[in-house]
Amino acid sequence: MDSAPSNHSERLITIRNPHGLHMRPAVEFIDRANGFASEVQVQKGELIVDGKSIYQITQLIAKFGTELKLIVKGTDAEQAIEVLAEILERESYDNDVQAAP
Amino acid sequence: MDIIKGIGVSSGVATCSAVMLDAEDYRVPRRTVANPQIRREVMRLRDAFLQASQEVSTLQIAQADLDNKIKDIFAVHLHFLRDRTLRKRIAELIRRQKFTAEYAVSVTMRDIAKNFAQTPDSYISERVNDIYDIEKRLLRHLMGSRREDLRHLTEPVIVVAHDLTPTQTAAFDKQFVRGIATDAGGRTSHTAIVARSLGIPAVVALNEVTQRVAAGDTIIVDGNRGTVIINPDAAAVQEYKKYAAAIVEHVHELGGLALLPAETKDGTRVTLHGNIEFPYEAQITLQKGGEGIGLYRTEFLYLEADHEPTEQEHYQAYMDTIQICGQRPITIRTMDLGADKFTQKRLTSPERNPFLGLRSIRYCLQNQSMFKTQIRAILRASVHGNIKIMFPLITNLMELRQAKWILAEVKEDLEEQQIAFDDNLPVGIMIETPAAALIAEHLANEVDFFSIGTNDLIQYTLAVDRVNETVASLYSPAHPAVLQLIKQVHRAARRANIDVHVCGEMASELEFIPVLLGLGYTSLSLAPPMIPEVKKLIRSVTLSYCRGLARKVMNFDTDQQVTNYLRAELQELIDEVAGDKR
Repeated sequence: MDSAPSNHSERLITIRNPHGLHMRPAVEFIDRANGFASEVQVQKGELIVDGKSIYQITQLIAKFGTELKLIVKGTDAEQAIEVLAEILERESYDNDVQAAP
Repeated sequence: MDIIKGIGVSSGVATCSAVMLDAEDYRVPRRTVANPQIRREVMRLRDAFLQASQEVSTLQIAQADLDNKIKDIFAVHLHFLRDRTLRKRIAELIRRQKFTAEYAVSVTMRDIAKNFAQTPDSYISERVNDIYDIEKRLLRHLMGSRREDLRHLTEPVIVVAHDLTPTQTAAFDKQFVRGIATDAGGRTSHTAIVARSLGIPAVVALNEVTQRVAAGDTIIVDGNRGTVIINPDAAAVQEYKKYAAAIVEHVHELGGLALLPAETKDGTRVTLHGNIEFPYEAQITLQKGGEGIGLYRTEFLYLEADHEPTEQEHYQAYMDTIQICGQRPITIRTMDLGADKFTQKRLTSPERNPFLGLRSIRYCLQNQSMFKTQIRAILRASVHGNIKIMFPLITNLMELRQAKWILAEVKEDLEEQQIAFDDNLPVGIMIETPAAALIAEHLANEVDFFSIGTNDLIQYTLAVDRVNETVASLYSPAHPAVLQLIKQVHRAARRANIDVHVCGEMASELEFIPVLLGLGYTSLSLAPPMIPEVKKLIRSVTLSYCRGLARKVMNFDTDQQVTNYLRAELQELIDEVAGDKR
């Protein structure tokens, strides 16, 4: 992996789901992130967390309107950032209504 | 050995191993380990994560056909349990702070939960419960069988909890609970009531007992002195063995009273009834010399089941009680839910001030079909025994009329369906608000009896939350305002020539018995195990003494004066009785 060409991609993202980045999308996000070889990080202000850890992602408390920076480093970074950014930027997730408390 | 002082709310002594009750407020004691044990704690942590995640995947497979919502919850749990960075963070805490695995898990998960809870966005803050669930799951694996479900006890235990909720006590396996110790609570908290009704020692308001006791510790609960001893030394165990034996002897002596009447020395007959929650307690009431049931709290029908009780379930419970009591009177109080009991969960938004909110009769009048179900069952049972119906928390005449109107409606329905009921079923109300006490004169014209619920009456009169330990000391039956109201209610009842009873905790507090007798009350309903003690006291006084005492007490202007005086008088009475024996 280290011998492969390494890429570094970053993207600024605003959470558009009215319910924020709640458990369902967070689970989907880390599942997909774990499928990539690249290192995935998400930054909110000063706080940078591991994008492959559910516990760390949920600690971001990303609500509607929260700005995040997605940072992906690795061989499949370009592909990964597209997939992962899409999840974060989605305006609604399946079952949002049912999953609502 | 560690001694904590609290308030003894139910007498007796028990020495047993402790179980920690599963509750929201459950806290794992802060414990540290010696250096060589750190590795072992980290291993235990790893195993707990492993076992917990296996457990969840099994659940997930077993319940594959469940709806997505539950599957999502399992998925979230599984992700957390498989999160290496989470486990690392906890392991770090063990290594650096030398915490036990349990404490490290608890600290970390609570930290995460706190972070969630701080966000005002309810969609995220609600996730706190997931975190607590995961914490509990991990703790369960760490603590293994030491922290059991109270439903499945196999050996005697002392229950240690922050505070018991009615739902928790409803689920107890009472056979094995020998004592209770709680952080919170007061003399009239739910814990105290339950403990007294079961006749097991209890100490409340211990502040931090849940933090100082670990599951499996041996503890002594001394309900007489209001102390809890954690991991007693050999000398303490020995002392308490003797003490417990002495108590047993005393109880045995009281047992001899069961067949004697509750009568003052100068021949005034007092009726002693039992307050019960479950039909089987009627049996205890009779054994202890009670002459009937003065307060049948029916909430427990609602709390035990996972559904609203059906008419048949109500009917069956009442019939079970009738079967035990025969033709002795049974006063059934209609559902008194709300406030600290379960209706909170059913409301869409939590009430800001539940004790002043939609509880008790108010809830019933707004949920008439539920209310009618219970009334139908009471009416159907009324032909088989000596049943009376009682409405709680009446604050004005309209509520009473409305409740009676619903009762009349149900009667009409039964008549139409040709189902038998007692048309003369006596109807009474609880007097438990200052409002009801002050308009007792008017209320008395429209009911067959009053029953004073002193716990709520005191709480509402003095504006004191009886469970809040920071103000619990302000809660006192001896407050002149309370005594005035109690006096007034009796006068109103006497003028209207209706029955009047006292069914609150005050009726089982020995120092107040002579005052109640002196004010004219001759019918008391109390926790069954207290009946012999109260009877013994009644048999040691004269009515003229009680009247004099009541007159004197009504002239005091502070509750301290009243309390001090009554305690001194009680002590004298006890000494006299002991002297008589010698």
